[in-house]
Amino acid sequence: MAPIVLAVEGANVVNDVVETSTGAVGAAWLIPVIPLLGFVLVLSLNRRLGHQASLVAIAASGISFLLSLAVAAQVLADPATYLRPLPTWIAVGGLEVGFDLFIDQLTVVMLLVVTGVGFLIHLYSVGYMHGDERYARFFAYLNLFLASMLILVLGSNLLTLFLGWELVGLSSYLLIGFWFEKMENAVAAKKAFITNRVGDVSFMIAMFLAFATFESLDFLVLIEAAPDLGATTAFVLVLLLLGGAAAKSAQIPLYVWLPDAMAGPTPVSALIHAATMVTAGVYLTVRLSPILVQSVGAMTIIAWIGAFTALLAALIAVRQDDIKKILAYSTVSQLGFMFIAVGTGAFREGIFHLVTHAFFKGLLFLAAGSVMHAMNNQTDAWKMGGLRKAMPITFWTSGIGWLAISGIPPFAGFFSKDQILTEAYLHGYGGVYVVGLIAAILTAFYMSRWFFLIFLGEPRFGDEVHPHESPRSMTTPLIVLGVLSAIGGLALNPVHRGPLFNFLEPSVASVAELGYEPAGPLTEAVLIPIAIVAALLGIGLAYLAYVRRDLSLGRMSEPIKGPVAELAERKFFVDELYEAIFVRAGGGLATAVTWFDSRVIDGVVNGSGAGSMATARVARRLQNGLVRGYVAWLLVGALAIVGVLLVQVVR
Amino acid sequence: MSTSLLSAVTPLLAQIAPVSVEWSAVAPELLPTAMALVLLLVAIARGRELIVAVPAALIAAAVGIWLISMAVVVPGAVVIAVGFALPASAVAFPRRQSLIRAFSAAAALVGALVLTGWQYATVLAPTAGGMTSQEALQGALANDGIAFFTRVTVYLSALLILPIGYGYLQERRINRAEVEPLLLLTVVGMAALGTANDLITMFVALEVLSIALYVLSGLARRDRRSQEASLKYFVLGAVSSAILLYGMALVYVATGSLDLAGIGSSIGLVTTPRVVAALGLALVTVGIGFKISLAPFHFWTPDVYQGAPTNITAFMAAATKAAGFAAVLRLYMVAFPALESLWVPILAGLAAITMLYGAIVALVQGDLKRILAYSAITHAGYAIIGVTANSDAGLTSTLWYLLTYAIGTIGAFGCVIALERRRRGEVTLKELRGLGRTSPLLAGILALSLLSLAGIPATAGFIGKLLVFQAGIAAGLTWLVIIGVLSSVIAAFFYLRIAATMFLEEPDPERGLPVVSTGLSLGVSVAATLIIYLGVYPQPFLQIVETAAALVR
Repeated sequence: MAPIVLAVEGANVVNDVVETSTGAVGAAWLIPVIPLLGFVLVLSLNRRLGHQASLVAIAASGISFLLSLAVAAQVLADPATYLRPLPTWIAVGGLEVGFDLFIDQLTVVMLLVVTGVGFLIHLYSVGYMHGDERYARFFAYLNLFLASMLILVLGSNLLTLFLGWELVGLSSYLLIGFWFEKMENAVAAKKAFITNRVGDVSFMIAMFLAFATFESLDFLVLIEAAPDLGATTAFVLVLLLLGGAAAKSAQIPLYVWLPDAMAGPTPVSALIHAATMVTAGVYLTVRLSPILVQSVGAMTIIAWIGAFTALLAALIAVRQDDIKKILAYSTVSQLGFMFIAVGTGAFREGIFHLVTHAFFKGLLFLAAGSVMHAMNNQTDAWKMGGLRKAMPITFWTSGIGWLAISGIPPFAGFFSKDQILTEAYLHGYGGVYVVGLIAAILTAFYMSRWFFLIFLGEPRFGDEVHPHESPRSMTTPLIVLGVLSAIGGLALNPVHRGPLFNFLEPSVASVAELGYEPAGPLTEAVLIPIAIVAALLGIGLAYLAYVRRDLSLGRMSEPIKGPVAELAERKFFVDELYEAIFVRAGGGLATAVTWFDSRVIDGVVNGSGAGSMATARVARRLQNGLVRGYVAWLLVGALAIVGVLLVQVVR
Repeated sequence: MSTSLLSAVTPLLAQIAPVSVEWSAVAPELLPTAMALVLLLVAIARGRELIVAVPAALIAAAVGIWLISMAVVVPGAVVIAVGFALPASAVAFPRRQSLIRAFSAAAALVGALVLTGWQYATVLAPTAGGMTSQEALQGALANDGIAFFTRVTVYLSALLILPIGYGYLQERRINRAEVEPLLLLTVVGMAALGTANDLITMFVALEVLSIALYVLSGLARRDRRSQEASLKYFVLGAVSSAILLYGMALVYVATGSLDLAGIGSSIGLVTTPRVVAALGLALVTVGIGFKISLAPFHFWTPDVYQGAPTNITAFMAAATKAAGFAAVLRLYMVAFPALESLWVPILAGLAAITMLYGAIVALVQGDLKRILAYSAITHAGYAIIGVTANSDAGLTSTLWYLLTYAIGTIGAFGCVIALERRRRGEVTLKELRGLGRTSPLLAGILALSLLSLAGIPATAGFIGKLLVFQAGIAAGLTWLVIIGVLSSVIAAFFYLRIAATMFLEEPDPERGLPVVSTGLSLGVSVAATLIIYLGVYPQPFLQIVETAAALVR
C-alpha cells in the first residue's frame, strides 16, 4: 500500500501503511474484546461472583493493558500505520465500513493512556467501592466503558469511532447514575447523555458530509484526500466536527454536563472525566488534523473556544467549595488548553497535555476520593484542613499532582502546558496566549486553594470524623500516578519538540505550510520563565489568602469577595440560562404542540382518565366532533396537498 | 393433455395446473390463508378438533405429495409439515383450543417464511445485477425485492407477536376463536399489498388487512377503549379509503391504465391531463398517508394504538407500517416517477412535519403505549426519507428500515405487555419505576429496544437510520436529513426518559412483578437477539437488501 503522507518536513516521517493480521497488531482486536467479555461475564454471573467480580474485571483491563504494551512495542520498533483487517460491519450502496483497526503512533499513545490509567482505576475501585451493594455491577460497567473507549480509539473509520463514541456515552450514563438513589445523580446522568446527544447531531451531520465529500469514511481515505477539500467544505466540516468534540470534551457551550457528572462515584470521575472520555474530542480533532489544517479559519475558532473555556472554567473553579467540583471545572479548563493546542496547530503538544493531564488529573481525583473516604464522604473543602498528618501518602501524592497541574517544573504539567502556550504564541495567536496565561495563573491559584484547604492549616471538622489513610489498593494507584505525574513530562517530552513530539510526527498533519508567524519578538527563552512566574504568582497569592490567614471561621473566612466572585460562585448563571432556553422554551414548545394535538384536533381533552370511559361517553365523544374533528383535519390536509400540487402543476 | 382434461372439469383448475410456476409467486400467502380457514372450521367443531384437523392434514398431505411429485420439493414438504402441525398440537394439548390455534398459526407463519426463503432461492436468487423480479397473474402481482422484504417483515412480526400476546389474550379473556384466523388474514392482506402491482389488487389487499384490523382492535369487547379504538379506526379508515379510491380513479381517468407500470409509462406523456393526474396523486398521497400515519393524517394513531389490545397494537405498529410502505414505494417509484417534481417536495414536507411533530408530542406523554404510538409516527417520517430519495438506495434503505423498526417496536411493546399484565390497566411511566432493579432482564430488553428505536449504534435501528439518511443525502435532501437527525435527538429524550425511569429510580414496593410468560420471554428474547445481531453483523442481510432494488416496472 502507498505510504500515508502527513508531514512533509522529511522523508523519515512518512508512515508506511502496513496491512497485517499477525504479530501484536494482529491480536489487537482482543484489546477491546476482552473488557467486553469481562462486562458480559461479570453481568451474567453477577450474584455468583460477588466480590470476585472485581478480579475478573481487573484481569480484563490488565490483559488489555499488556496487549496495548505489545502493540506499542511493535509500533515503536517498526513505525508504520498498521491496518488490521476485520469483518465488514456495513457494506451497502457504496458505503463500506469494517471493524478494521487503525493503529499508528497516535493510537498507541491513546491505547496506553486508556488502558494504563483504566487499569489503575479498576484497582483503586476495589477499595473505594468495597461494601457497595452493587459492587459487581460497578465493575461490569467499568469494563463496558473501557471496551467502548477502546473501540473509539482503535476504529479505522468515522463510523466505528462513532460506535465507540455512543457506547462511551451510554456506559458513562450508567456510571454517572450509578448511585441513582440520590436524585442529583440521576439528573446529572441524564444531563450528560442529553448534552452529548446534542453534540452527536453535529457529529452525525459531519459524518454524512464527509461521506458525501470523500465517498468513504475510512481515515486513510479522509487523510489522503483532505488536501483536495474546498475551503468552504473544509470550514463547515471542521466546525461540525468541533460541535461533536465540544460536547464530549466539555467545551463552551456544551461543557455544562461535566461538573454535574461528578455526582458519580469518584473512580468514575477519574476515569471518565479526567483521563479518558473527555479526551475523545481531542483525539477526534487530532486524528482528523489533515482536515483541520485545510481551514485555518475554523482552527482559529477552535483555539478561541478553547481559550475562553479555559478561562471561564478556571474563574468558576476559584470559588467552588466542593473538592470534586473544583477538579471538575479544572478538567474543563485543562481541556480548554488542549483545544487551544489543536486550534493553534500544536496537535502533538495537545496530545502531550492529554497524556500528562490523564496522569495528574487522574491522580488528583483519586486523591480526592481518598480524602472523601477518610472524611465520611465529606466534599466541602471548608470542613477539612490539616489532613497532612493523617494521610501522608495522599498528602504527598496530591502535592505532586498540585504542582504538576500548577505548572511548576519539573513536574509533568509544566512541560505540556508551557509548550501549548509557547506554540500558540509562536504561531501568532497572541490573544489566545494572553488568555491562556491568565487561565494558567488562575489554575495555579485555585489548585493551591484546593490543596491548602484540604491538607494544610488547622482541622476545621468536628471530633466525630477520624481521618485515616486509605487501604493499600487505593494508595498504590495514587503512588503510581504520583510517580508518572512527577516524571512523566520529563521522560516523554522534556524539551519543546522532544521525543514524544517526534514519535507522533507521522500521525498528525504538518502545519509547516500554514505560514504561521510569531505573535511578537519574544522567544522561548523568555516565554518559559514567564510561564514559571505565572505559576508561582498563582501559588503565592493562594498562599497569602489561604495559609497565612486565620480560616477557623470556615466559609466565612473566604477572602475573595465581590460581584465577580459571586458570579463565579454561581457559575455565571449558565445553567440557569440553559434551563430557561432549553427546558422552559423546549417544554413550552412541546406543551404547545401537544395542546394543538389534543385540543385543536380532538376537540376535547383526550387520553386522560381513559379508564372511566363509559359507552355514553364514547358516543358523546363521537358526536361531540371528536371523529368529526379528525375527519375535518383529514380533509384540511387533503385540501392543502391538493392545493400545493395544483399550484405546482398550473405553474 | 392433462390441461384439456382438467379444463373440462373446471376452468379455474385449468389455470392452476399449467401455471403452477406462476402460483409460486403467492405460495407464502396460500399457506396462512388455508390455515385461517381451517382454524375457523376448528372453531366451529367446538372441542372435537380432530374431526377437522385430520381431514385437513390429509388434504395437506395429498397436496404436498402432489407438489413433490411435480418436483417442487420444498413447498411440498412445508405443506405436509404445516398440515400435520394442527392434529399434532391437538393431540399434544387436548382441550386447550387457544394453544392449538396459536401453535397451528405459528406453524403456518413459519411455513410462510420458509416459502419466502424458497422463493428467494429459486426465483429471486440474485444475480450480479440484483434480484430477478417475477410478474404473476397477468401483471396483477409483482414478486420482487419489495414483496420479499414485506413478506419477511410481516410474517416475522406476526410470528413474534403470537407467543408474546398469547398469555395476554388469555388473561384478558379475549382469546376468542377468531383471533388467530383474523391475524393470519391480516398478514396475508399485508403480504398481498407488498406484491400488489395494480391499483385494484392494491386496494383490495389494503381493505383485507384493514377490515381484519378493525375487528382485531375491537377485540376486547368489554373494554371501552378498545371499542372506541375500533370504531374510530373504522370510521376514519373508511374515509381515507374513500379518498384513496377516488385518487386511484382519477389516476385511471388520467392514464387509462390500472397496472402500475402502465401508469408509470403514460403519466408523463404530453397527452395525459396533468391536472387530473396531479389531483389523483394528491388524493392517493392523503389516503396512503393515513394508512402509514404521516402527520397531519396521523391523529387516529395514538387513540387506536392506546385503545387496542397491546399485542394487536404491536402488530399494527410493526407490520401495517411495512405493508403500507410497500404500497408507497411501489406507487411513487413505479407509477409516479414521472411526477417526481410534484411529489418529492410534498413527501419531504410531510416527512419533516411528521418527524418533528411526533418527536415533540411524544415528549410530554405519560402513557407508554401513547409514547410508542408517537414514536411510530416519528418513524414513518424517517422511513419516508428513503422514499423521497427516489433512488435504488432510497428503496432498499426504506425496506431495511422497516424491518429494523418492526423488530424494535415489537420488542418494546412486548415488554409493555408484561407490565400491563401486572396491573391490567394503562402502563404509565410510573409503572416502570425501578424495573431495572426488580426485573433487570425485562428492563434490559425494553431498554435495548428503545435504544434501537432511538438509533444508537450497535443496534439494528442505527443501521436503518444510517442507510435512510445516507440515501437522503445522496439524493440531495440534506435539509431533510438534518431535520431527521434533529428529530432523532429529540426522540432520544423520551426514549431515555423511559430508560431512566427504569434504571435510575427506586422501585415501588407495592407494585407486583411484571408477568412474564414463556411465550413472551421467547418472543422478546428473539427480538432482542435480532436487534443486536442486525446491529453488529448485518452484512449477510445487507447483501440481500442491496439486490432488492429490482422492481417490476
